[in-house]
Amino acid sequence: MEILKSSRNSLPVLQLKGRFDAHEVEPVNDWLVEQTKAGNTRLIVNLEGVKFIDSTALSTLVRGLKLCREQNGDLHICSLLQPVQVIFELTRLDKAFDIFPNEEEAVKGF
Amino acid sequence: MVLEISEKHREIFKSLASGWMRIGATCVQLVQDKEVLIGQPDTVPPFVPVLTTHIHGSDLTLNVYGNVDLHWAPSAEATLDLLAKLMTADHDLDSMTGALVETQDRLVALYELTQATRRTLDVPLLLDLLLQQSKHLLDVDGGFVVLKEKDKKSIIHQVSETPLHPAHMEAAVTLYQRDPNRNIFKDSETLPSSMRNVMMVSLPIRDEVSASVGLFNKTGNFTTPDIKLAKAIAGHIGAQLENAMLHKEAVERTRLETEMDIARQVQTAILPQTLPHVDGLDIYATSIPAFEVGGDFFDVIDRSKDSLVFALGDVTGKGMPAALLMSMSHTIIKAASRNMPFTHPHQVLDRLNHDMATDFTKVGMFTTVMLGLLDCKTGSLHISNAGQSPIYYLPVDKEPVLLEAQDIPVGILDTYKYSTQSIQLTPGDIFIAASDGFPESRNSAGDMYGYERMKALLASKRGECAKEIAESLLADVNTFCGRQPQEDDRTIVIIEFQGNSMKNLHGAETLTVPANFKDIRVACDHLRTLLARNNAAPEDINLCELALQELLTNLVEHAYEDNPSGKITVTLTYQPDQLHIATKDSGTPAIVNLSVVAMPEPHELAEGGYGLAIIQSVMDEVKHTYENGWNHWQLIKKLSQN
Repeated sequence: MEILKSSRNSLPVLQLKGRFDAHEVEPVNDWLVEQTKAGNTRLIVNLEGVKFIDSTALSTLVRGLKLCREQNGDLHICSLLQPVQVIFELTRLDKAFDIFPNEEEAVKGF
Repeated sequence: MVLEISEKHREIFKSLASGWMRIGATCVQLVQDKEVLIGQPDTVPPFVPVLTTHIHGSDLTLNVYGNVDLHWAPSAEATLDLLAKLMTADHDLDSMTGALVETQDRLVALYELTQATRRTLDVPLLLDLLLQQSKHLLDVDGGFVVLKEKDKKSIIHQVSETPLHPAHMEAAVTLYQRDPNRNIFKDSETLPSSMRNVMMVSLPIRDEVSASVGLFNKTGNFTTPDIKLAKAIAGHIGAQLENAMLHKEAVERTRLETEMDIARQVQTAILPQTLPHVDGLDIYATSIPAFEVGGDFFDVIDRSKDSLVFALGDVTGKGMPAALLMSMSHTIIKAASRNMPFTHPHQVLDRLNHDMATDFTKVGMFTTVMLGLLDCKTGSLHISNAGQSPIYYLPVDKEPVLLEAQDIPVGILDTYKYSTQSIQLTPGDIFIAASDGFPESRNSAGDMYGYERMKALLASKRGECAKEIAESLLADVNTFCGRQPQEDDRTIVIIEFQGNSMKNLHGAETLTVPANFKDIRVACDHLRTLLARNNAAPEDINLCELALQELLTNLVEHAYEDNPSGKITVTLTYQPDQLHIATKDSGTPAIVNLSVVAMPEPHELAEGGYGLAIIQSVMDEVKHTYENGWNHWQLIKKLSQN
């Protein structure tokens, strides 16, 4: 999986590409912890390039969401491909996260 | 104008003169430019004339001798005027008759030329007729035609008793092209020494051919009617010549098309129609020939139970010679692969090069070829690459690698020694050999598809079955090229190494994977490939993969929590209406009550507990048993029918 760290309107953005599964969660978890520790609690994870996501990866995102919300922030998810959208719906985590069609909307959503 | 005196003129003059005699004249003369045209009597008197009359603007004079009163002077003028008019009229009549006869001659000649040329499509013969007729009709020493086609050498055809040097003819054409409105050149300073005068006209053929006719060394001078005649002949022959050239091209094209058809048939016939099925490998190969066959070939040969030979090559050149050399090369590779006890593929290339170098050199061709020898059980791959490109190696968890050719193409140097390079494939690795028809395809803007684009596409398709990868690549290149026609063959061989999987008698596939997050992906890839190969619905493929991923993740996390060297055996059984997944592991016995498994509530923001719930909601049947130290999981998913 490819990981690209960037920012948009000075909000940290993590862009992922490839298969996001148990084997890949560590660097994503590290980023979430790093950012929230540094006081960045409004984060965006862009899943545009992700074709497959498993429950371990979803759990990692949930942990990140909690870290943000504990500090009155939020974790916004955006750009879901259809197969990934299906998995969010299956786990009903589409109700837990604020999900946006693209990065721009995800920024505006804060 | 020198007037000719006819008998009729003499009669008229005689009767006019007798009138003058009656009024006292002794002699009457008609003089042109001091020369006596007619006299009555013939003898010239030794004294000066009494009356001398001129006509203004003419060189005619009437002299009257004898005892004639001067008041007859106006009569003398009238007589002279009458004679002058009569003689000029007769002269004009003669000239017109002459011109009429000449025109008729020329018309007859043109007609004969038409008749003669109508039946021929032979270019040199037509040019010959054109020049012979022109030479005859225009009374010249000879003629020539210079045909110039863009980027080609000039063709010169000449008919002459004193042949000209080609450079002189080209010089005349250059003069004419510099001043196309002028047809006649007689300036000795600019003309080559061999030509006194030359008349140039253009031969109207097609735009891309410039043709000029030159007629040289006329006795006397060229006249305007000559130009008209030459243009008429050229116009006629030009049309016929164009037909002849088009006909010749059509014949040539038909011959080439026939040759291309045969070459294409040869190529299609020697390419394998079926591919071997080998346990542990997913093999796909195809070749899409261009309109003009490019000489690509490939083969995949199941050598014995454990080894597979595959080859992909591209003979330079097109048409029959390329097809024949391709066929011979392919035969040698096939025979050597089947019968020769070789351990390294370079041994086959050495043999091919040794046998074929002379044949290739004779026709100035060569072939690139990549030959691979794979141990299907261990994944040990040896390849020898004589200039073939691109060859990609896609390791399961790393970036694709473009493997450069280490050796020169076959057929260049018969003493060359080829080499072998080795790669150890691990389960999930993909090896791709292709012809340059992929990366070198161009779109209408002239941009190449390119090696990077190809690499990126292959990387994005990793995890799909070999056939899907090939089809995605072909589709992507087609999309890139748009309406631009395919210029070269596109040939590809894809081999996915799946490792220690095997099919049992019931059509199930079994593989064993190490219990870690990285290696369980191989099983997921396997499942995806199996379902894709059987054209399952994409949604079913995704959900089945998710279920297997969740199950295996659970086993890695819970069953083998303390044992990273544990193994999980996965058996996948595909039936058109359902997929059966069975796993077996020797880890910690699972203690689960499937009836109470439920998806966590979203508002709880649970950081786990989704796995089994996902499996239950995705699969139609989920079962766990523990027997004799083995955990058994069985999952069944009903597949939607396409």
